[in-house]
Amino acid sequence: MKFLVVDDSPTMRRIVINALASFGFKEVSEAADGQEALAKLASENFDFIITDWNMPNMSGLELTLAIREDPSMKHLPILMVTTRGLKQDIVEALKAKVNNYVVKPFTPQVLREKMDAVLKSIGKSGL
Amino acid sequence: MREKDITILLKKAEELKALFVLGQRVIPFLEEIFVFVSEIKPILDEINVSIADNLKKMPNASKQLSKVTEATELATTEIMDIVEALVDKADSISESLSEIKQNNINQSSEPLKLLEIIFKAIQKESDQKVLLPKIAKSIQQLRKSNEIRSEENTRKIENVLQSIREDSSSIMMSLQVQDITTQQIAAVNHLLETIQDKLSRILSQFQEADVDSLVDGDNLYHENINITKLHRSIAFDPEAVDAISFKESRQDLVDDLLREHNKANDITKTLNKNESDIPFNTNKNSLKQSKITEQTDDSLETFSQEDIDAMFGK
Repeated sequence: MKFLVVDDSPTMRRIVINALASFGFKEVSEAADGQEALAKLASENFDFIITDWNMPNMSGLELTLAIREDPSMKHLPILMVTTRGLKQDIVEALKAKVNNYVVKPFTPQVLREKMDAVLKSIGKSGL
Repeated sequence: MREKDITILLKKAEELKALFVLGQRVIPFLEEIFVFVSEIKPILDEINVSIADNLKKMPNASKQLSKVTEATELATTEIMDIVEALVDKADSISESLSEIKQNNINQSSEPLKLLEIIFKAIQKESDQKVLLPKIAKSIQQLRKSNEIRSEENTRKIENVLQSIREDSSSIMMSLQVQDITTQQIAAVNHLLETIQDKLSRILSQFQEADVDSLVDGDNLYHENINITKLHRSIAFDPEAVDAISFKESRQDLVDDLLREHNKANDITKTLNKNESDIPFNTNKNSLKQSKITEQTDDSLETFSQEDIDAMFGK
């Protein structure tokens, strides 16, 4: 399974990549914002996207909307990992059709649980 | 009327005339002052509002920086606790290794003892019936002690290693504070830039006496920009510090909200009809209105992972 980790913070990208490695997922690409992520999605195939919300150039929400509008990528599972925990934020994320939502700071268990839930909800086996 | 009186009267009339002439000359000047005061009033009001506004922001900036310090301190303490535990675990591994070393010494001496028994027995040409059970017993004891010791030590070290892996993962997770505090500092930096920008614009326009543009200029300022330039462009959540302050409960609240939403099963009601082919875990048949569509003041409430789970389904 190939992951795309999108976050403008190099620290956060590294943390998520390390967590994925501890779950046994070594095939991971990274992008610093939505634009970079879209460029990678255009040239490579991914199975799962983990994205931050607040990013320069293109936010995680805009990235999600762009992915959902593209017929070739619209079914890609997206997990939003963000500091934003307000009700209105979650409603916006739901409207943009993210598959699940994790607030920072998170534990590896929570990340794994949500990834598992997303994979099960789209009919793929869990981790 | 005497001639003197008439002269005085005429003089007074001349003075009165001069007063009127002065008045006529002063009136435009007074009018100018009036216009100036009415023009300057919005500027003064603007400066007043701006100063009051900026003064309100200052304590907030100070509070944000204070929370950054608090968050950093908290994370540092967490990491130090874990590192201390790691040192203890390293000591535990050292003990186990010493034990293994001692066991190896013991184990290497036992076969030697056995060989000595055999050697002496052969030398004395002892009876095999007496000798063989002794040798068999020694072999059995040797084998058993090897298995037990090696199993125990291996299990002990594996447990400690697993614990070290978990601790390392915890340290890695605690370092998320770096992202959160960066966002917080970015928010404060943005606030300072906004204040500086606003004050310098007022100052510049005041100097140019461009009153109208100054008064209208208020519309140019927006507080919704959430990107600032530090060593790189940083997008920030001004409320990011809450992520640290309420880290235990936030995810639970979010999960509750998602679970709740999932029970209501009406994400489609919150979305456009055309967006109904959502790929995630929702029941599209329900017509119940989700609570999250309510536009109330509680939209500023923070939510935890359980709230989120409630909406998305575990």
